[in-house]
Amino acid sequence: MRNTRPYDPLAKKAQHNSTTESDAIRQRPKKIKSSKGVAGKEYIHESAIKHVLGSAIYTDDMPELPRTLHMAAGGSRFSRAKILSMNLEPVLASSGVVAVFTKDDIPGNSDIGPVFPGDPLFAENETLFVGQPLFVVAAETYEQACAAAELADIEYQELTPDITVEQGIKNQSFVLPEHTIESGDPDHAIKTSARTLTGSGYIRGQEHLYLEGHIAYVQPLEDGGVHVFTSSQHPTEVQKLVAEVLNIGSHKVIAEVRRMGGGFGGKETQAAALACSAALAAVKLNRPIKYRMPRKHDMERTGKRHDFSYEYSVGFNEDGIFNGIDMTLAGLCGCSPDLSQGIVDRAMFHADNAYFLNQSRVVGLSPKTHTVSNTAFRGFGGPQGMVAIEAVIDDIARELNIDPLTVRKRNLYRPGANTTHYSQPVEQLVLQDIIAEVENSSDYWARREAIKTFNTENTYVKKGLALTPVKFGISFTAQHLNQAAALVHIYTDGTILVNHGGTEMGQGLHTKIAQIVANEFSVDIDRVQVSATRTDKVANTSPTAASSGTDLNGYAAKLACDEIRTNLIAFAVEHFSVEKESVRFEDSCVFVGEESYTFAKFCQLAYMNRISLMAHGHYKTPKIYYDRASGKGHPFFYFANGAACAEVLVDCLTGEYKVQRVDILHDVGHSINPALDIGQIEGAFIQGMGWLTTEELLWDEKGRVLSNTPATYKIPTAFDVPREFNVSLYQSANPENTVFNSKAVGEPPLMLAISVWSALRDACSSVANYQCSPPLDPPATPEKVLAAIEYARAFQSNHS
Amino acid sequence: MIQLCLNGQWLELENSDPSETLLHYLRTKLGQNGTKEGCASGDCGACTVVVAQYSEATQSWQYHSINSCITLLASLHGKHIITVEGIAESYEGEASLSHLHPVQRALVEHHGSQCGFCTPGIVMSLFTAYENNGGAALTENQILDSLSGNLCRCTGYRPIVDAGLEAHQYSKAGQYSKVGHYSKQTTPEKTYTTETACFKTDTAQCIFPASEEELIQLITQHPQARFVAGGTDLMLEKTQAFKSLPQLIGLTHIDSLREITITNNNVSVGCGVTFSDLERELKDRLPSLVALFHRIGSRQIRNQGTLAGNIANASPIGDSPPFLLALDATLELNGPNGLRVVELNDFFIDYKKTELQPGEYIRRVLFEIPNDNFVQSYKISKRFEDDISAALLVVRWSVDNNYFKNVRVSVGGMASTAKRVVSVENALEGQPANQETISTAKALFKTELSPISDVRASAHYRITVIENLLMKAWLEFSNNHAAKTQCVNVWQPNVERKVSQQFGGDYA
Repeated sequence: MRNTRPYDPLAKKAQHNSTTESDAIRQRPKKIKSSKGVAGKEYIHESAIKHVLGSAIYTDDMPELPRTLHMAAGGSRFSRAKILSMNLEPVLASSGVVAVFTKDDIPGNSDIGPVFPGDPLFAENETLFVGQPLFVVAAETYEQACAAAELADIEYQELTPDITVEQGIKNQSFVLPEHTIESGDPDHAIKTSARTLTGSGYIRGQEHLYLEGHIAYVQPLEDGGVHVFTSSQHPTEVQKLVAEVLNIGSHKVIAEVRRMGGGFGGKETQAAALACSAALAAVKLNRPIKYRMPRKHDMERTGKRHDFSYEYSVGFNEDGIFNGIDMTLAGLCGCSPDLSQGIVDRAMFHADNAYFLNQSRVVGLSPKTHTVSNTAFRGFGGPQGMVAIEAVIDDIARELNIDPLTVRKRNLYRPGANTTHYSQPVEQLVLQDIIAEVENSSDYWARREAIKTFNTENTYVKKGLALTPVKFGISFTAQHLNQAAALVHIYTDGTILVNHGGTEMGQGLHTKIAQIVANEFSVDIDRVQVSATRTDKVANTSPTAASSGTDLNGYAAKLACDEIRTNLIAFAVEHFSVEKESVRFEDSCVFVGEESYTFAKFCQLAYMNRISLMAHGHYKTPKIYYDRASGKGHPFFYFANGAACAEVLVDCLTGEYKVQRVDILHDVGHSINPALDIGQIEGAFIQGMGWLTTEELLWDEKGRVLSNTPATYKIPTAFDVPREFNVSLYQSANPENTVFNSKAVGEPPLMLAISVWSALRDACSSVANYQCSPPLDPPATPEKVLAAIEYARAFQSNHS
Repeated sequence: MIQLCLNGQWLELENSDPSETLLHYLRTKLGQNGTKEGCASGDCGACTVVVAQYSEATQSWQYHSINSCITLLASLHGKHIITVEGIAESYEGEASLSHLHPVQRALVEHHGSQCGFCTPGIVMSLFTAYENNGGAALTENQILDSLSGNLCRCTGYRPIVDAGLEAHQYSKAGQYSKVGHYSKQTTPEKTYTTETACFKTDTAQCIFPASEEELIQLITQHPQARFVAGGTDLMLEKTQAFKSLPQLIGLTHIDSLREITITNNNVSVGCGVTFSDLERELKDRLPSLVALFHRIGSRQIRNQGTLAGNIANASPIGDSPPFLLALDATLELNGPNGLRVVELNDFFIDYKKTELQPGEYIRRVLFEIPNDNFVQSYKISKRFEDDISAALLVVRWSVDNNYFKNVRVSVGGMASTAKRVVSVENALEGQPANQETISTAKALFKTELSPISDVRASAHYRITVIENLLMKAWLEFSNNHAAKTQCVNVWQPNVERKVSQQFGGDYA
């Protein structure tokens, strides 16, 4: 068995580097003082044994209460139509149906938009997208509800919809105003550059395809409130919206999440519609309601990753170094704002990826279309901005006939050129080092030469290679979300219960939090239980999103532990008349001078002396601010970094390809759990690879999703994983004061997969002896790869 | 009454709707919620369970993974079902590592689950591979084959494949020997699957005749009845469209329809024969067809889906019809009006329209294993595994004295039915076997075919790639006969599996 030995860990506090910028390039953050404890070890996921036994309970697995009804929604047939009449009699008459509810039944607010209004629970007079709920039906069984929902007799007057980014822009239809981040004088810089290029491309969105579809199970409570079991990354928002829809106080709504079967951002805002609809029926009928969508509805009626179109004009010197860039990013927002402001902003923030753009203008557009409102998806716009700039780099490299890696390295943020277009300095200049390590471990240059030879010798099959970096900003760009709270209870037997605001969707958040808490008291992890996320335990939580789950909730839990520990130490000092320094928590014991007590005994003693054994910790991220009007500030606490080198083998007759080898080095700071972090990196990479290769999200001209089942939307299988797949954690601690000096890991590694896309483009380019940069809009399906090869062939024959 | 053995315990399912799915029964009637519903269409594998069959011939248990979400409950009458709840040692309260089956334990120790929702299905797929292999070390190919129908959106699969590779190391002496421990406690004697069985409720009836005579009688009595063998397509009407299936006739209790016979290269495949059965029989005799089977659906689907069902379904895509067309296959059709034989080439009439008359069923599929130099299929899809073809080309030819002869060229996904492309065949037949002939011939595809654009591919790509595939076939053929100087197949890269994870441990 490979490397299952936990390495010896770590860390109380990082020592901040006080080096000059130029040392900072080559110098890693200092090593940190080691300490005994469970943070830093490869604990298995807290639910792993339950997962493999099938005993982990997801919302749909909960025993149903007597009189539970099942819900389904009748969806609009048209993307944009006036509803002339709606006859629901056939629905009511259908077998097993108990009731139907429409917008007229909503006692409170009917708009469930999370940030801005625009998301009516049920369609108002005009429909917004195909499948938009018009009404819901409650029936005795799931099948009866689903069958009945199809029976409504609805008269529509079809209107002309906008379906594409292009149509939205052409008709000047936007969900949010245009936004610009500008630095210096890009027009002048481009005009006066030795070389210029313009280009454009289109990046398709992505379906989350979490294996557990959306669900809500709502039980009415005796005081007019509801208990909502929801598949939500944001239970507080579900609580708030349910209360608003029902027109009751938030204090009467409990939203609870034990676990989700995957989220990936798809359950940040999208769970609310199910919860609110089910809550409405639960209160009206005084019966428990379960609302689970068939997969096809889930894929049709919930938001996805935004499609983005991009256009750029870039000026650079003969070495390929940016002088200035003017880039426009337009995200297909769908019918409402949802989270699109943050998503388009994040795409704009990441239009630099890891590179100093110099004089730059980044414009963000948010076209409105008559399609489902697009939403959060791992990376939150960042990946699209980064694909765009990596395309620019590849284009420059082909233009100058320089290896793309060289152009990448030359443009990295560096001393004297480390200010982003939104004026935040990049303080941790680690990418030079990370890239150098991957260059070395992947043997990039030798393989580059070997691949060139292979490509010369082979007509029908070509290889491609690319090494791309990732720099990803960590923090919610909405400042107020960067806070969290946790509740730690120690019982008199020395066991510890933790509740915090984060939700578990597979990422191992609860495992990491248990490790943090166990570490604080130097007890076994088995002694710590993390309970289901509940809005009645920790209030006003932020979504578990933006990779921030551990950074925020972990720190909050640590602060709660600190408080209890402080109280316990003060108690010991008084009770035993000792110095503070002589009280130590070690090996599941509390040492007081020469004496030692088991942790349980000590807790019992403290209790008998009327010392509180519970505490609430609240954390807010320091340092961050951002003025959106000027596009300037320090929106990110720090950046997470990484690099990947991918090699592909392409069939030039069909466009089929196989990813052969991938080498990854990724920076998670001081890892709280290396096994879980590796899992996040590998999983994100494969998910990103799917986005850029086989996952093709398609709509028809009427706004119907064509890729609406797992039969037509293809995420990677085990076969697609590169057979040579090396993943390493970069050995460094986060110099910022994060919990255990770790770094966020959820989203950043998704963008490592851009290396695969860039390698495919490299292989296509080789057909023209690397003299052209063929367009290859992701996802690079075999069809698109063959088109790129044909483009390169045509280029070759025109230029030889 | 349906009787089945669930995790070693025989159950009598009173008043159960015979047309419901196994998954529905497990979750809503038995409260066995370990098995998950991810898609209810057999595409994700979260619902994977195992059918165990005792083979008198080999005196051993054989395990077949299936998608319980699209499995007709009635078709499991008399069978042993194993679910994720049934493979660990029994435990009270909280289970520990020592209770786990080796594949479960390997998954835990390799961090093979994250959100855990796909995990029960992954466990059962790996369990199948592990137990069928007697607990010995599995190869990577065996693992990938077993997982071909299991989607995981979290892990990226590497730790899951690692768990499969190392599961054998977790078996303990005396525990989990060759067969799962549940099966030792149970008797395999139940022979319901060869008897007539009739299951009825007020709303649905499902009859499994035990002989063809009975079958014909039933067809006469119930002319509206639908046939079901594997049911992997039929059941979607229930789980996707929420339609009822009030009248079903099952074909899987009739021995004669479950037979594969091979005499003098003549293959006869009964309509109850699954792809997996055929793979075993043909893997040495017609490996190119078996290679195509490996790209039809997933292991779970192939454990249930039948060759005859794939033909009767009359999808324009296939994937087996184009290959069978190239083999000049014939079909025995049977029904109340008697037995008749039609050529497969005459069977497909138009989109989803066939020669089958009301009440007729495909009794057998007949073909000859060719002794030509070359027969090969090329499937194009976005994803290699478990995807529906954008385009499929099958070529068959002999080269005699440097001339093509006995040429067959057939396609899927290019027209309203799977079909032979006669103009291309004619352009090759009797012509010199060289690249020029191929170039001339491939230009004819677009004169005979006008494919559509859809979610899988554009018409332009379909035509281009079909032309190129003919060239690829030629290159592969000629490469086989000359020095292999050029690589032409990206799917067989000569790379060893090599994975590593470095935790970066020099903090201490």
